[in-house]
Amino acid sequence: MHNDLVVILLAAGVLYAQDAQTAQIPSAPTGSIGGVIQFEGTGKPVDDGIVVIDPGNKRIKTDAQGRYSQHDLAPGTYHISVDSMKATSVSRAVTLLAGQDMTVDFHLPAPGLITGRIVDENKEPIPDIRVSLVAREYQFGELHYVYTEVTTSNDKGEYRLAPVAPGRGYLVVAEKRAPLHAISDAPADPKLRKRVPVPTYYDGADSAEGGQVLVLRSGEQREGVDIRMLRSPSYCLEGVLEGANGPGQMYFSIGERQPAFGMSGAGGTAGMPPGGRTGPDGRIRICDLHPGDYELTAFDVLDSLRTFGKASVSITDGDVGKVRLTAAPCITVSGEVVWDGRAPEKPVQAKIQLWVMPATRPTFKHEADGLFPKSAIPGEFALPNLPMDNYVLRLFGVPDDLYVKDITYSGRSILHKPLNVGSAIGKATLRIVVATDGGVIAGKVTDKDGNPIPDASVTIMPAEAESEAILAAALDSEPADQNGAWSTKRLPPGKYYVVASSTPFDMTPESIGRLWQLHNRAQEVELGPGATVQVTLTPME
Amino acid sequence: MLSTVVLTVILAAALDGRVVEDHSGNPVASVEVRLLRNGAPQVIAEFETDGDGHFDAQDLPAGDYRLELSKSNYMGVTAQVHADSVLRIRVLRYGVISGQVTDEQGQPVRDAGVLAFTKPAGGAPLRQTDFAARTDEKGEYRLHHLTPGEYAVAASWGASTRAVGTSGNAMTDPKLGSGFLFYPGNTRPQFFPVTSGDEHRADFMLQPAASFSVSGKVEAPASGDTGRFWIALTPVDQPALAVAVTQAAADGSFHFDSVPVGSYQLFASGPITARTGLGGLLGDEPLFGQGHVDVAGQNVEGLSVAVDKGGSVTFLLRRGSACPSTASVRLVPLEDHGAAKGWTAELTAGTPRTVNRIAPGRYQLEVKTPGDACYLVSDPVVTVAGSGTVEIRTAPAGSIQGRLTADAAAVTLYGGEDVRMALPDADHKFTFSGLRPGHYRLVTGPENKTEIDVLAGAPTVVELTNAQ
Repeated sequence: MHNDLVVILLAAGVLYAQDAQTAQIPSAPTGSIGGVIQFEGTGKPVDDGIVVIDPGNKRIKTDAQGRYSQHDLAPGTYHISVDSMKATSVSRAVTLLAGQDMTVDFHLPAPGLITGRIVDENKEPIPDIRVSLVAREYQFGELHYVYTEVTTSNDKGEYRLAPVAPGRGYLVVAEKRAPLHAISDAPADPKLRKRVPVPTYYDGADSAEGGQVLVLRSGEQREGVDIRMLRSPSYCLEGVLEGANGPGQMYFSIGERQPAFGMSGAGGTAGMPPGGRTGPDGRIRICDLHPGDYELTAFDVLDSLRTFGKASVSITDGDVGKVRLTAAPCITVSGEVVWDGRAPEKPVQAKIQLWVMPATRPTFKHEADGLFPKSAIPGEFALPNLPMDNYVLRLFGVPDDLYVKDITYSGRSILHKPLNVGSAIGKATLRIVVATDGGVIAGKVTDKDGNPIPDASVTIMPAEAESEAILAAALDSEPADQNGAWSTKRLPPGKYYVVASSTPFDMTPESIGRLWQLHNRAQEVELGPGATVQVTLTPME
Repeated sequence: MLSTVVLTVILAAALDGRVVEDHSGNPVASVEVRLLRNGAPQVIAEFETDGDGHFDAQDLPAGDYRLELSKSNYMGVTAQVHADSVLRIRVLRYGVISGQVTDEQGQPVRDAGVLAFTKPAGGAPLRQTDFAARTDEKGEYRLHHLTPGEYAVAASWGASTRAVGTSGNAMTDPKLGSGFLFYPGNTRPQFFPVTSGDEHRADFMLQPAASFSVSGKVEAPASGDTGRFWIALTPVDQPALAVAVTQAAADGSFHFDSVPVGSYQLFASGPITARTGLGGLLGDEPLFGQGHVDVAGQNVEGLSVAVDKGGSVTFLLRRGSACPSTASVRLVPLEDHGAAKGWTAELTAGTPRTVNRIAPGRYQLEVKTPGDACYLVSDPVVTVAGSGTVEIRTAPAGSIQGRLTADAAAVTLYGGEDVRMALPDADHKFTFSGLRPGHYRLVTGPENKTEIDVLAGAPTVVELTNAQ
């Protein structure tokens, strides 16, 4: 039996240290970038900040006064990002001249706090209820609900959720999490079972769609976010879990499809839903389930993961019986990096580094050993011992003059999608297609009179995106520097819409919805192969 | 349309129950009640008490049943009942100790750990329990699952074992450094007697103290093992908590930022394979080092800590007459080493059993015999240094067999190693076994206390009724 295992994750970019790509020009005199990082409003120093300066992947910790500095920087444009466990991450672009000592200060929005009480129908406090902050955002072309912070109500039913990133919309959900038994002793007749608490979203909704979206100001303490838990009839799920050799002793877990563990732009959590272990016959009778859509997982671990299986189960208004879930052996996914069309004449020295992580759960023992392969361009790689689960795929180290045109798995495009290992038809091959014909959009952000506006954000939208969800997956955003100058990386040739805004857009439905509205007011750019298109933008908001 | 109705006549019985709080007599709503037939694994029905603490079950076949009651904040109860009963079930609410941790200016101190300790018998050092909480941004904490007993509480801040064990390292506020404070002071911790539904308050005010850095190096034999050593500084006069814990670097060097003035025992343990709230977890072949550090007015530098395989103890079970020929022994550290490993052994009378690679230090011996028939008569505290032999001598224990007809849910026993509690069965009977012969106090309520002398061998029988 295991309760939820919850691990707080930082934004993905922090997890993996990017390959060094230095922009050093030996002859030019070097300069420095430094400054102070403070909280917005209070001016208190951010003493646990990590400043990352790219290119170069220089990582600097702030001191007790929030100061940071980096010397020996060649002239050029740098992206500076600041991460802190106590504040919301921010990033900026600056252009450093030869020998310049530049001061770049940051004012980070202070995280907020949400407090409240969990009560039952009799308005009695309910202790030991898991209360979570749920981020809503588009990922891989779909709206996802992701747990970002988790706490438990105390003996008075009170809870506190912190840190809450200001300016973003969140839901708060209360859920009862009790240990699960493989074979429950619940009464056979559903009418003789007690009613079970259902996940209840503030302010009293039984679904995420009905939940009230809370947006906090910098440093806001939102009190009185009380939730009266709803209840429903209690149902059971019966069936058999099978391994490679038929029914057998298996680990299992069961959780609702949404919200899920995983990553979001506002942090994330990795965990396993409640579960346990069956007896040698593989039988399950999981009870205390409320109506809803679940994901049932079965797996077998012996030193490392051996078999793994997942199935969707819906419970509506009765017990569900005769479920049979077979866990399949892990497979090796072979991969290759190939050129789109003809290879360039000059061989490419750089290597692409893959970063592959389970989309919602923590890694099993030894699983992570093979999840970060490197590949030459062109070249081959392998992802050994992968279970039939979903993975997030990221690529690092793609040279500046190339772009990733497509990623296919078993012949189908998974660009902007998760890698679903079990979806392979025939040979499980992951192909990364790299192209040389990319173009660059660059320009300036100015006011109406042509004066440069510093530190704006520029968003580049492929014109072919036909929905908000797909737009969210495909868009690119770039910060303008202190002179209003900005530039994209290599982009596929095609038509784009480009807008500038004072603050960046995030992946929440509100933010993407606003961006979608701006579509027709955006500047249209036709980017030809290998072209550089200059655009001058005036911020929309 | 015609239909046939078949009536089956059975001997229908009913259960009628009411659940009340032990200490107040108030009804308890929303208690989950599970009804089971004796000998059958599956639950017959589940109920919940209403706002008046009431539940009932109709149309039950006559016979014996088991009721399992549970509700958050209350201790679970199992009751044997006969069908056609009217029941009044008392439930015990967990106790609470809560309060606030502030600095000298009254500003809240967040992320301080607050831990509960049990009162040991016979003046042995305090022992940490599993009850722990962390202060929020208002500096407030609540320890709210306390089972009846006597507890001391301590606040620990900075690089405590719990903070470093949980996060791998700890932020220390330069003004406060690292340390711990028992309520109301480290020299004389106060013990809170916690019974059902009690709520006690313990506020801490942390005083800034001059603090200094301590650094040095663990001289580990070259082994190629990549696990790190963990270093703990534990006050000589209050060893139950380390004042600060740190992880040594891969080369063995270690550094503490802000250690208050004092006299410390330094414990080095490693290599560490994982970490928990109890500190680092030791691998299969641990090494240990120890030293004495006085911090008085200046930084301490250049400490050199040699490590070796630690101590070993050879246990020899000398059983008393009529005592079982086997026993299990567990070594519970009395000092906070910042690292943890369980040392246990199964003993057979007359056969020496050696436990190796024990961290040097003081330990409490927990000895269990089959059936709780006997207790440990030899010294329960041992000091491990080098190798030595420890005799585990057992003697027949005493027991209490009682009947509780007083209006109370449970009986609490004071006077032993730990405070213990028993819930009477359907026939109002309760038992305490494995007792060291001596004087005990049985408590069923604030006004209901019975003093009793327990002798070895035959059970001591007692009847607890309502006080007049």
